[in-house]
Amino acid sequence: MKKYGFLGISFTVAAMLVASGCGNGSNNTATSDTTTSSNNTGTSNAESTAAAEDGGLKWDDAAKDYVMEPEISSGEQSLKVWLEYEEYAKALVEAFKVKYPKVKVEYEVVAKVDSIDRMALDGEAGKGADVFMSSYNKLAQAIDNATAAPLGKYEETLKERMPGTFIDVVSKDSQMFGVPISTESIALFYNKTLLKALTGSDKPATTWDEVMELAKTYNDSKTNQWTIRFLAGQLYYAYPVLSSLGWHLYEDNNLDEPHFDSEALTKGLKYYKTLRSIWDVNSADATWDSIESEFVKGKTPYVITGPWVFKDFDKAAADNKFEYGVTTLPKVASGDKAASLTGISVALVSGYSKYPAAARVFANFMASDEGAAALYKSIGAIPALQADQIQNVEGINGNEHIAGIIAQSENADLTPQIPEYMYTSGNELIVNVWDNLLSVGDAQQKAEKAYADLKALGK
Amino acid sequence: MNNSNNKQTTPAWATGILSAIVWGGGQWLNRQYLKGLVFFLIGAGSLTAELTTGHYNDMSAGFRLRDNGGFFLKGLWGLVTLGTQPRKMGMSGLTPGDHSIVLMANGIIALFVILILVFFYVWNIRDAVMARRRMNESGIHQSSLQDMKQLWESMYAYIVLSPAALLTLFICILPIVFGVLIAFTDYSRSNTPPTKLVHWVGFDNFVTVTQVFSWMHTFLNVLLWTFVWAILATITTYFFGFFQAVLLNNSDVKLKKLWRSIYILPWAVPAMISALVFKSMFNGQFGPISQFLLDTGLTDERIYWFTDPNHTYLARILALLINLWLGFPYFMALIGGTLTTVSDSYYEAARMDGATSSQTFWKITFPIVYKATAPLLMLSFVSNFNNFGVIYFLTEGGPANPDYNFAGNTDLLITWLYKLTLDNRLYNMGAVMSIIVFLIVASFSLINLRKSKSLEEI
Amino acid sequence: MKAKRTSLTTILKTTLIYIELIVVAVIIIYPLIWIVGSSFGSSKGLANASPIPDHTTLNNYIDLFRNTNFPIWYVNTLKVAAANMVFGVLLSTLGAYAFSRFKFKGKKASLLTMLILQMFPAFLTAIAVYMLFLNFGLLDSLTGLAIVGVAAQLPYNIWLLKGYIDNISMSFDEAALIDGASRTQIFIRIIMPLASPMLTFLAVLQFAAPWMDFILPRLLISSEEKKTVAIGLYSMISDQTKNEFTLFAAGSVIVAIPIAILYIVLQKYLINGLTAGGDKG
Repeated sequence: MKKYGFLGISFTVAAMLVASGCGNGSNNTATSDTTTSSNNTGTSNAESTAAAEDGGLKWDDAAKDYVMEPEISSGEQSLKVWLEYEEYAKALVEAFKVKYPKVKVEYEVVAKVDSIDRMALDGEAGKGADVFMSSYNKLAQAIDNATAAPLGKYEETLKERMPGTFIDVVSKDSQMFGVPISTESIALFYNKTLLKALTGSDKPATTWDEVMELAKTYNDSKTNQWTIRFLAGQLYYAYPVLSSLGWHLYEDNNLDEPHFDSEALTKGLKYYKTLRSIWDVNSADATWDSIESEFVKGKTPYVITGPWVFKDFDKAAADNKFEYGVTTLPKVASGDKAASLTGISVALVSGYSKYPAAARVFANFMASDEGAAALYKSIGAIPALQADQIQNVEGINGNEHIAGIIAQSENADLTPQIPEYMYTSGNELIVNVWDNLLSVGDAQQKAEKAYADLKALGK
Repeated sequence: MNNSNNKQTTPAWATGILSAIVWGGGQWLNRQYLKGLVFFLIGAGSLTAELTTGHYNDMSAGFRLRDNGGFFLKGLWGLVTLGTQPRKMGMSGLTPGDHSIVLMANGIIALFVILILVFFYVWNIRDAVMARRRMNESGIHQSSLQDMKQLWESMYAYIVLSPAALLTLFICILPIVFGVLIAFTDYSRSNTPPTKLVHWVGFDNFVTVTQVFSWMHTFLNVLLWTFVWAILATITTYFFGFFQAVLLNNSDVKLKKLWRSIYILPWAVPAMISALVFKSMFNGQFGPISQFLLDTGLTDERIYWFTDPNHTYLARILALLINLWLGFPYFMALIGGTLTTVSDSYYEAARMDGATSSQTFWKITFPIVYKATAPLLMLSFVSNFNNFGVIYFLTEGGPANPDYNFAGNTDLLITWLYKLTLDNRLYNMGAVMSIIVFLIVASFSLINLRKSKSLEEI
Repeated sequence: MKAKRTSLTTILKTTLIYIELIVVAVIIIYPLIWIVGSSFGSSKGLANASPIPDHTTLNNYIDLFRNTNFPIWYVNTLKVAAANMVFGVLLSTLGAYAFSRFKFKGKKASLLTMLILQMFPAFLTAIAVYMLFLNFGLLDSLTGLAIVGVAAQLPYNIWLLKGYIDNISMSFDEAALIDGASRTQIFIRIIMPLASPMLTFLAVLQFAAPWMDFILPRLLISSEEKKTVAIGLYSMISDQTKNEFTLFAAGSVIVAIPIAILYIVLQKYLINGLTAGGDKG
């Protein structure tokens, strides 16, 4: 504190406008933190549609690619990309070189949580990337601040290769603004070895009732032995339960109406609250690293998390001699299947790019078979492709863990770009219910009001 | 006197006018060539900057600030209008256009530079007139160097201060001006450049903020806690540092250097990592401390340090203690040094009078040390008031409070505003609330400073 | 009898002091052991961090040097820290000297302004800093970082040093003045040496700051070759999907060691430094 000096502090905080992704892990779950509004329709999109038809970019019908700018195709200038992982960047650039040997690509490692905010300034300053990655939940912001440009003719190719859900969440006014790269949907991870020892079968639970059944004997709060662990205080993790009982986010595609007061939600929240009996932890204490690290030790039968843990879990499973599986999230016995909120990382073509054609070629390449193979090989992430297309990716066929995530992704709810105040008010709602701070009804009312307030302030 | 009849005499005002027309012109007339050259270069330099950054070669459509203006003129134009033409998104990228926020920032930068230039300009005129007047009165010609030497003598403090002042002006004050001006625009989620233009909206945002009355309760309570936090955090680090320093000053303590080295360690570790480790250690459910207390039977149940909604003061106290851990070494070092300087003669006199050790401390040691360190208490209060890092990394504001809007029990104004306005992209609202907070804390501090009379000693 | 009781109470007192010292030392050291321990840990997350990890390994340190650009970051930070130290100390001493020794118009106002401005919760101003640096060509440069580092701490340093110089007796200045010294000579020959312990103190603080400050640099620096340790380390824990807490801890330990050693070595200057200031004339 003192050692920084005082302006140091205020500057530090000052900088956070741009560094708004800053924070420690548990505040920034990759896929559930903040998103952006899309209540910005009207004139600009009509104009941009017109521009998209008349962009001046040449399309090569035979190669199904845009014709790259001569500076780029000759290797005179290089294309600049921002990716989150060094390994992925290397593999991807190498694969790209095979197909386009003359093109030079420079990469920088930039965290997905930072990229859009940085792009907004660096782009304006003429220093930004041509192609960069972000998470889907920040896409609305990228469209708003014009760091994401429409993809043009690649839409047709991509639509053939990707599930409709993914296409829809990156689209606005029937234009695609991002290339879905990898799917990060949460799913149920289960310890096969432990389950077998406990129940005699390594089949995972399909309903919450089964989880509760096991919890009766297995839970021991004194020693922190829990049957299931998940981030209880976040809408993103509560959503599968709520959707199983009939509450779906923006069912009518109207961002003005979150339906926080619906009866289905009341039912869902009441059920969600009963889960506290098997995972009796205050929301803020249930940090994600405490969740994942216990599974790694092989002492927790179930955790709900996403594919980013594969690398750690695989290593731990080998070290601690257990097998684990990945499957769809448990549903409420009396309810429908549990839908999750979409989680994907996307590649965006910068609106500031000087080489719009080449940038689109690269972005499209990232979703190609070669690009998908680079993604899977380097960091083990799951390409956001249709199930049958994924099988073409080298090495992915027969990977059961990935199959589990894909199965859950198919249950993902189709949501428009979720405004950030949905998470602000929704997370507060979930915490109020989970930590028993308010009655379900009061919490719903408060959330409804909070949503309206935040929405009004942004107008 | 002799020269007054001399026809060479130039009236002082004439040099002034000449300097007003051409930078350094009057000085030239005064035959103070070096000074004239310096002023001329400043003037010519700024003109060149304007010309080279603008597009003055193509004015076929007449002169338009937006298209032809350079760093200064376009800057001012941007600050006033905030742009007139939004960019449009198309397949080949963004069309040319204006980015309101960038224009605003550049405008403020240009304005600051212009203010400095105006200062030099006025000086340039004044200098010419004054120098001439002096010469006319005394009849002695003074060279540039003599004049400058005189200037160095009379303005020494200002000259010495100028580098620091310049840095502070641009890197500390300018951004704050920007932050304040944001409050008077409609820059927010629904109005994001570059495809939309931001506009000046006067005091509209201040009106909007007062309309969310339901948040007033949160604001007042968070404000209250922020004051409590800032005052207690300052007092605890100060007095505990003091206490440790006094102990280490005790002649019976051996290995002073070792103790000091240990106590100073929290300094060397990045505060963020310490805060994260504390957060993990004091995790109510999974942290080792709760578990230890439970295992040893010291408590029947886990203590939910940061998350117990029924005992919210616990989180607050713990946050203060952890802040103490991070902050006391500074005051320990500071006061430890001051202590060794308190003259022994004071203590001897006290001993002769039969004073007890606590009397000696309160009557002699404390007043001396306090006087030497009092200004730092104010600085420490201010830094604690805006202490973003500790709370954000330690508790994230928790435990949650259902009576508040988006704030937890340990949230300080700064963490609350940050989460609320940046996560939700309510930039203009954030700026409005920043101004309100600033007015409150600044007036509180000024009143306090005035009371403590330390102002008069400046 | 009386003498005996005194010695008894003295022993008791000394014992109590030692107990207190030990308790505080333990409280200080325990969390630090955690950090060091987790830097040798094999799992990535914070939750498994413990003073004595299950599988002790040097992998984090090896990773740091093999798979990241840590050495480059380190050299960059050294450069920034050195510049920060030299210019920070120089400018703040000059400023403090002026504020302490001269009466001039606007003195009170500017001191107050510096103080008051610190109170502005300025979390919306980053864009302005960015544009400023863009205009002056200082983006993505270590020079720019050093300038921010110096400027950000100037107001505080000036206040700190001014208080200190206020306490150096004017009689030294006056004596030098009689000897015909100029004000600059007084500054160099009298003020600087007399304040030198405090300057050491400031120098250490200025040197340490760039190792820890990551938020503004993260905005101003974009290329890998210009990153500082703080930016690089922070990116290791920036997100749930990208969490390398143990690697981060290892980096922090490497950062902390030289700073800690510097503090310890310069301790006598720190202590004596703050001392001379108390020597009122």
